Amino acid sequence: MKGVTGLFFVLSGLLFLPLRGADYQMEVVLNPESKIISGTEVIRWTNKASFPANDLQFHLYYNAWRDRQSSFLNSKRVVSKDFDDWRENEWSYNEINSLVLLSEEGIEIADLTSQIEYIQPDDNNSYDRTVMRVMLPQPIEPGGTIVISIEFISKVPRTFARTGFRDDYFFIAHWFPKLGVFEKEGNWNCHQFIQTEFFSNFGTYDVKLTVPEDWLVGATGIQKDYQKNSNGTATHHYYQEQVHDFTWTTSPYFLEYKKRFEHSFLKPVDVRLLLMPDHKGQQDRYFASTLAALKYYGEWFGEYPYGHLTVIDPAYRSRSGGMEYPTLFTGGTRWLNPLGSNNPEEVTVHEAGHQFWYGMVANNEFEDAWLDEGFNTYSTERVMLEVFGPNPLVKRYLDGFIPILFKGMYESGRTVSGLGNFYSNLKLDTMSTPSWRYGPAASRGGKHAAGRDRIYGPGAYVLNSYTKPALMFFTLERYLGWETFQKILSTYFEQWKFNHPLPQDFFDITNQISGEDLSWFWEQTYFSSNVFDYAVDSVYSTDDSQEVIIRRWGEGVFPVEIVITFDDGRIVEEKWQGTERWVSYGYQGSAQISTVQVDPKRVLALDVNLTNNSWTSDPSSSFAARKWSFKWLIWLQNLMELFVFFS
Amino acid sequence: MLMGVIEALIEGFNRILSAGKIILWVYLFSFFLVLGPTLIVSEMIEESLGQSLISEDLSAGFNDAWYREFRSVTKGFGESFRFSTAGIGAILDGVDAFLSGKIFQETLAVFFLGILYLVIWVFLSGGVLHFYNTNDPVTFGHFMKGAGIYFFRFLRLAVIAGLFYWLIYFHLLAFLGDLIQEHTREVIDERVAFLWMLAKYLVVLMFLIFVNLIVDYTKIITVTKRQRSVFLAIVESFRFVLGNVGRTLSLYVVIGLLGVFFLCLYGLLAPGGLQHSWIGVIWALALGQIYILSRIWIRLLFMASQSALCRTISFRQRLS
Repeated sequence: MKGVTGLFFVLSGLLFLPLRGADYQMEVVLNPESKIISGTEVIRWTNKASFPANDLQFHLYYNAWRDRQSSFLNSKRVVSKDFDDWRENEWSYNEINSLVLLSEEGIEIADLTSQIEYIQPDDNNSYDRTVMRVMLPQPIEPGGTIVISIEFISKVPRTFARTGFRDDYFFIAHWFPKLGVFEKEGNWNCHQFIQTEFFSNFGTYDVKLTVPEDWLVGATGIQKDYQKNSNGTATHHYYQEQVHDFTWTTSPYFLEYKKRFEHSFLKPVDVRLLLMPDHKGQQDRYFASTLAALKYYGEWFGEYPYGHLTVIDPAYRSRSGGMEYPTLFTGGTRWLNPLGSNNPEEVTVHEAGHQFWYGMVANNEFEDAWLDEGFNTYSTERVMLEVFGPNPLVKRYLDGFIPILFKGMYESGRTVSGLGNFYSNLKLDTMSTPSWRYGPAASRGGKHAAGRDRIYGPGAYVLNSYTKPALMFFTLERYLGWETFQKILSTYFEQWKFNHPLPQDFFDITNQISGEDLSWFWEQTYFSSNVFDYAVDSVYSTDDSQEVIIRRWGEGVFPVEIVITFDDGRIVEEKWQGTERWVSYGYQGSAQISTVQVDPKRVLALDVNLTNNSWTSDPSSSFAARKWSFKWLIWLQNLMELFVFFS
Repeated sequence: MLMGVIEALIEGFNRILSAGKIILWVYLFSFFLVLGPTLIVSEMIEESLGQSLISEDLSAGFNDAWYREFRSVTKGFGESFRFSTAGIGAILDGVDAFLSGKIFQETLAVFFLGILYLVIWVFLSGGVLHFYNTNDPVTFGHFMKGAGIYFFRFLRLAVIAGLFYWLIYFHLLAFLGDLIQEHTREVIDERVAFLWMLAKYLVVLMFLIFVNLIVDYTKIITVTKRQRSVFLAIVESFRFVLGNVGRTLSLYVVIGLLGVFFLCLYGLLAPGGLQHSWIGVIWALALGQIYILSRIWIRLLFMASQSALCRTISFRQRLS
């Protein structure tokens, strides 16, 4: 029976599936009680490399939560004590019941089940089973196609890292045996699961999902068919071409909303939102942000081609929020969410934006996470500033349930680099280090080269994948001008959509479009961990002459503008290449210097210390200090009154 | 029962009015204790700003980039400077820290200052209760004399109470947290989790109030009956509170609600971070000081009204 089913899939696939890197046809059933997904997949894979493939390598991501010995749970970024209270049925696994090689006509050629072995290409942890290899009886020559039928079981984990279940909310990501990428050099790019970044071929997904009848389903692609079964279940048939993953979610709790994105020259998109009941009332916020992303990313970079997009509002504490998948993404919000705060707007724009950077321009996230996260962080900030304004500061009280928005006080965001922890975290890794090898944040209380004795912050991964590249792009945008930079990004998008670019591909386009060799910029930002810090060092005045000294404190070199104003209204603009350690500007005359600003237009968004970028002869530091310390006084007095309670 | 509570309240009001200087002395102690650290923080901020134009941003409003830079390098009292000290955040930070126990995880400098203030108040409370329970003239000398008489007894009481507070924060709260974690493992509706959180803090508050009640009446009994043994005073306080739980608790709750009212009022009026003139800054400071005065007044109202209630009930018991 299984062979006939497999044959049917294959034949129907032959008739309808276009040729891509890897095409998947699946039919699976979810049992919500046992948390098991069982089913069959038929993969049609074409060797696009110039070398023969002697084996196949698959990701089995659910084995990352098989037990505590997996590489993921042993990695320094995971706090394994989070699993102390996990029960037996909350761990997960991928089990392969059979792996059979089929001919193009669907006839079994070889049963390779016994050939299955688990390999650990990244860390030699023999307990890790997130990469499976199968040796082929005969190599697949370049251009050759292979058809494989796999019967598998995926035991869904309790949600920890993006995927799993909580109560009757299931978010199913990275759940099926998935081929790695056979690169043109003739080797498999199939990393173990150590972090939540992924890389796979584009292809077609044709998936039938059977779930309880009254459960709503959201998935990659468009629903082609729906069928009620006699056993209280229903089968949802989803289909999508030109994507590199298939993710789905199901729950009886979802509320469904729809809206259509329309634009004068961009393709319309049907947006479907599945919302949790405790977030009812926030659907307009989700739609506004999604549509803003589709509009601006479309206008700036290129069109979103799929015609449909599913937005999932993740369940509370499900740990499945803020993540991107092809034609589907999860946002994230809270029950109490003040109007005027930019949550869920920011995460929604960001994850919708990943449809472009990740979904279509599909970099290898394992190795170059910044190529989607950095691009997208920059793009998100642009959309947020364009549509929603700066993020007001919000603090949450009482275990995070009660938010208070501080009016008129805004986050500097990742567009401004006044992050003190840049000093420490920038030195942990260069951006050119493969992302999966980034280390953790330095330990608290450790010292680093510059002598600071408090180390904290996001660590190398977040900083090098999100923050730093975003700041690099703002720097480039202001240096080259928005028109040029936008052309760079849209050219890159058009050239590399539905493909897998490398960093050098982007660097080449920046040089090509700008007409400038920007390798000096990439050398300092991508290939090194140089810090940029220009400062006004001192201002000397006599009755008939003035002198300004500007210093370069950081190792990074960048041309900067210096603007000096005099008390007679005169303004002088100097341009400094910024290569030496300091530069001095002298002026004759009796007019005194009022202000000095280094890089007043904030072209160098990477400057880590903005406070030292300016000088004024009449500072209001004293007033500012009193103002804010008086507020602190009230805070302290109130706290002292609380201490008194214990007397 | 209600009459007894209202009578005690009215007598408490009157008592405070008649010894108005006490509020001033307590407030001045409080103000001067925090003035030094405030000047330190002011210096730190001013030094951080130097002659930078960023100071203009901070003068007119706020600058988050500077704030992050400052936070990453500051030490001592400066570590406790947060953007949420603006407006109602100054009060909510404290409420949150109080309920959650984070008050004990404050920066070291602030924590030790808090302990110092607590000890000073232990000293001063003797003087306050002395006035509210005797007919001595309200002079500074008598105040300090009263404070000195009861200081070591009240200090011993504070240590004993501290043990109970430690049990509440470091055991009961943790236990409730684990219990809720277990019961809400599968909860995916934030509203349900919110209700559990509220229940947790209500239970914690109940225990805190109970210990606080016992401590309050122990002090009053120590003063009114000149009880030398703290343990015996505690026992008698237990008997008193449990024997008059309706009135003692009602009085506590009424005054507590009054305090919450002042907190909410301040929350509505408290200016945020956008003052840009000395008038605005002074106004914000003055409003904050009025709120702190109201807090002190509430604290004294507790002492005066509870003293009145204790006297009334004891008097009626003697009569009967």
